[in-house]
Amino acid sequence: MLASEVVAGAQEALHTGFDQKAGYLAEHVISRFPRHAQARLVRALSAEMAGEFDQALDDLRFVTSAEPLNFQAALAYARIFRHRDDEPRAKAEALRAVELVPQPPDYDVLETALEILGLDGAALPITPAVFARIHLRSGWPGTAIRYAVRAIDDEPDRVDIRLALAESLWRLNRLSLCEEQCTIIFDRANDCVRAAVMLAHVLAERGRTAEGQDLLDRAGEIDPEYREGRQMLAQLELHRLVLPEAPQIDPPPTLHSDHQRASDTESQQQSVHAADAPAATLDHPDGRPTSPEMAVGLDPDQHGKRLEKTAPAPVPTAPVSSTIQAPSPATRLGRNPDPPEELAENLTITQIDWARELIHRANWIEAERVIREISSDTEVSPDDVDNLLEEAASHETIAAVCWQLLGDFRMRTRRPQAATEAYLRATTRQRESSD
Amino acid sequence: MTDAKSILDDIRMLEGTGGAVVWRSGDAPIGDLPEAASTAAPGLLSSSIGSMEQVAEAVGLGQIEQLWFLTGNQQCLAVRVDEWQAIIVAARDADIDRLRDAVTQRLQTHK
Repeated sequence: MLASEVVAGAQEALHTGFDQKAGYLAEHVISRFPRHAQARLVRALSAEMAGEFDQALDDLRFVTSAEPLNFQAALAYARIFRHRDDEPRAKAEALRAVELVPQPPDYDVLETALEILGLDGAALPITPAVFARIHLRSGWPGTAIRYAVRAIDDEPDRVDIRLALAESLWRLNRLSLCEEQCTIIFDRANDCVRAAVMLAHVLAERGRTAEGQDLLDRAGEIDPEYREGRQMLAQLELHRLVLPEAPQIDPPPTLHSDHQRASDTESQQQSVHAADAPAATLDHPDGRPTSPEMAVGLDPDQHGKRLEKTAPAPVPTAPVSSTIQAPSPATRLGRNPDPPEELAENLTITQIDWARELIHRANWIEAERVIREISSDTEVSPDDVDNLLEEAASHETIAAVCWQLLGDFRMRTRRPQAATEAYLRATTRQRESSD
Repeated sequence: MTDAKSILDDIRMLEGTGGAVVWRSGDAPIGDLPEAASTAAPGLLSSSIGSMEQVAEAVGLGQIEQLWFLTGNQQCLAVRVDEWQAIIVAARDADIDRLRDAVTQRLQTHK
């Protein structure tokens, strides 16, 4: 069974008011994938329904970091802020939720958001962020960039807008600029899956496929089925990354296993009854029937009330398969089990590596720009700069400029004789080029 | 860089100056040598002066303050004031003493 199938059941349970059951199913997924963003969202919404706002906020923070475009998380924030009489933040989050609602729109979300905003739909402001998203969605990334840049000027801390900018740049294959934006995004949302996918692709394009793949694998901890990764990479004609098979998880243990053990016949009847029940929870969202175990576990008519009686806490009372790990206290509180810096640290690319990669790819203009930056960076080791510039100078196209930069660098490091040699080589190269 | 550029602009406005290079010790030089065949010419001149300075110091002559040389139709003067250095290129018949005083004054105002 896929984790998304359990989450879909949890969302359905939530939608039909069985928040405890939703929480239980979410915990089942979280016990296997502690950083599963969608399961954490369900747990947050379940906690919100139970009035446990602090716990909900813990999970929402993670969800927003992993999926900055998640409109349900934005709306949950808005509701919680409204509950706490923090109108300005409630309205800001409601507006963000409206801006993030995908096409076709989720009218429930829109209705709630508009209610919080106290606005009629027609009175909604059309912001540059909205235009950026519309243009990106419509396949016009160039125009999207213009609007996104304006939107960022207005709201520089909005990660979702910066993500639109990064994605627009990525679609236009402006990978260096995309990378810069992704780095900023990671500073503010260090679990962002979309940024990780883009950066993984950038690394792979530079020949650092293993690093890119590793980054993608880490994103798989949050989105094990790589929904976003598949959707984004599908837009590329070719890429070097491998999207692993979606891992299976054990079906959630039923909440009435004792009862089942007591009477197999009765249990079968219950399953049949559950399968006949009109509740949408019995079917997968795409129409495929779920497994009998899942059907039993998700049927609110049959088992929701029993859950309240026999399992007041959202932790399974039935025996749990040995492959399922119990969630750690940190996970239950919504904290990342890994240090939050870990993802960002793994993204570190030295400028020198980058320059070498650009040279390898014969991207001379970008290579020259990066080499200039390196040669004027006082924190880079002089030996490293010398070596890079000498290597780069062996390439005809950038030889003259690299010898010149090497001369300048040697002057700055007070080595005039060595500088003279470099300047002389620059002169020779220039003369050869003009001849 | 801003200081070096402003000194260079000042020196280039001096009457009789055909070209100039300016730098501060530990920085790359900037220059304006219209007749130069290579963009590396300011670097070559400054690094050559720097090499000569190292030679003078290595043999115990102390730090060079001024260097002057004459070619068939040009004369060239290098001046140091503490960390700042400048090279001026002028016509062979230019009043090099006047130019030296003016350049030294410009460098002293920035030291």
